[in-house]
Amino acid sequence: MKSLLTRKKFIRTLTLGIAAISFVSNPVKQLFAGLTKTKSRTDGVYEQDRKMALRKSQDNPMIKQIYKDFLEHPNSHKAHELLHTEYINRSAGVNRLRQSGIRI
Amino acid sequence: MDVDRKKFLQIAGGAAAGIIAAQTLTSCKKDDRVEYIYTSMESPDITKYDKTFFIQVDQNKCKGCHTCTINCPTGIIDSKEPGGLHRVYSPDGCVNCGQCLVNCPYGAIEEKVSFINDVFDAIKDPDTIVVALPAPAVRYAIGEPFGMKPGEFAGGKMNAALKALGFDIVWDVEFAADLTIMEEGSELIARLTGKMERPLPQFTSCCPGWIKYVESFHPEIIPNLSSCKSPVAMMGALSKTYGAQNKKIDPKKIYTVSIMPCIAKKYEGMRPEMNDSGFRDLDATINTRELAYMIKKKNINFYALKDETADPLLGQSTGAATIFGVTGGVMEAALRFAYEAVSGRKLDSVDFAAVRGMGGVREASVKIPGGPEVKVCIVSGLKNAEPIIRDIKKGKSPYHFIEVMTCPGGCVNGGGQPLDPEDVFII
Repeated sequence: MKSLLTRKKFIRTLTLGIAAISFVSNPVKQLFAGLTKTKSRTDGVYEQDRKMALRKSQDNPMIKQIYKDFLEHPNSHKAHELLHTEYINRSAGVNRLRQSGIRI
Repeated sequence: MDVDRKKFLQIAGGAAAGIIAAQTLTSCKKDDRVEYIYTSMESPDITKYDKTFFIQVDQNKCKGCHTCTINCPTGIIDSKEPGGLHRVYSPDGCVNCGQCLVNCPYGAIEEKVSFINDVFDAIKDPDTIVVALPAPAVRYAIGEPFGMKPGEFAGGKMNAALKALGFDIVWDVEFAADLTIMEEGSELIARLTGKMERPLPQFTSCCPGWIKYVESFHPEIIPNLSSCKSPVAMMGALSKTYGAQNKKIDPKKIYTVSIMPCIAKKYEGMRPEMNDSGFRDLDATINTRELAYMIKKKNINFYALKDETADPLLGQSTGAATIFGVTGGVMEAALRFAYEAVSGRKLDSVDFAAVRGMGGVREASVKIPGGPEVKVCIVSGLKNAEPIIRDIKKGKSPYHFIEVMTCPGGCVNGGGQPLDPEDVFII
């Protein structure tokens, strides 16, 4: 009886398999690496949050200080001058691109 | 030709040696990259902030694999024909998030502008007071290029490294994150109670990619955006006013450097309206990769540094500020504030687990005693915001407060964060 898988065939299949995996694996590995990395950084953030002595913005002594000495109260006139902004309608550029046939 | 065992092993061995040699050669070339990403050292012209390409594809390295287009929230990065070379067509439709760049399997996407040389020059100048403004998410990733694990907290070492680089003052953007919560939370309460004539739902405004997206693609919902600047933009304005007054420094001499996990923040820092202090609020913007590059360039042994704290006045922060770096963080921090501000009661548990997670769209509803039931929504990944915006335009949105972060997972996965060398397949 002829053997289905000879030594030579086995090595050839194995080599081709490894070659194929090493070519494909990079994007796949990258996808998962990205996800797990984001996950570990997220876990790090929540762990640090748990460790902090103060966990609410309104309890921050330097925040209390700046409102007392400088900003008066949230959304005060001074706060609006320095900490708030206005936004600009930038749709003209996008519309121009759409008219030139770019699908965005 | 018959290949025997010996010949086969010879050929395979030769091929393996060749591949290793080629990889060693390409890794030597990595020196002119900033943490594996090719970054042009050209300083941007801030007057042309709207005409600047922050990200572009190297046409010689693009393989036409389309991964960038799949990860692009707007579709501005694309090819003319299927499988062709990809490029960013125009700065107009690009929100500068950099998700194309971090996901490119060939390392073919580059950063086109960098303030690295400007920052080095400012540090060298003895008359300039250089102020570092590091973002929350930077400290959870800056350790990685120096062998620390992803997510390992490196805030103390980051402050020490900034001082070692020659920054005169380190003022923490986490402080401004707390300040953002006071301002944005109060704004939300004012909208909810009708004291402010602005529509609901209110959107967060910390993410520069999201802001440019609304301005370019959905200007109709601009009134829904919180009028608050992003934390670092607040920080820039405060450094040259409150900070300068208290430290008795001439604000003219202050050079503020925003250090962000982000590419889009470069655009934000260059916006002409960011001059409320009477000067440029933010003189330069670099990202986590560029900071790591600067630390390596100055041969600072990051891992051996002793932890330091940020400088007083604008340096203290809370847990509510540090979670700004993750999706749902701004929402949770705002709820910790709004709950106590509206009800007048102390929160028993500050953890709002309902808003945490990795899903693209998450919703929760929080009953505040003595106040309304607040319906909130968290969007992670800009594409996921589309259906929500559609509902708002139709007047059907059930939410009061919506957080949007352009990068999936939030700033910890930002376009300016360090990458693993094996993630960037360099050919």
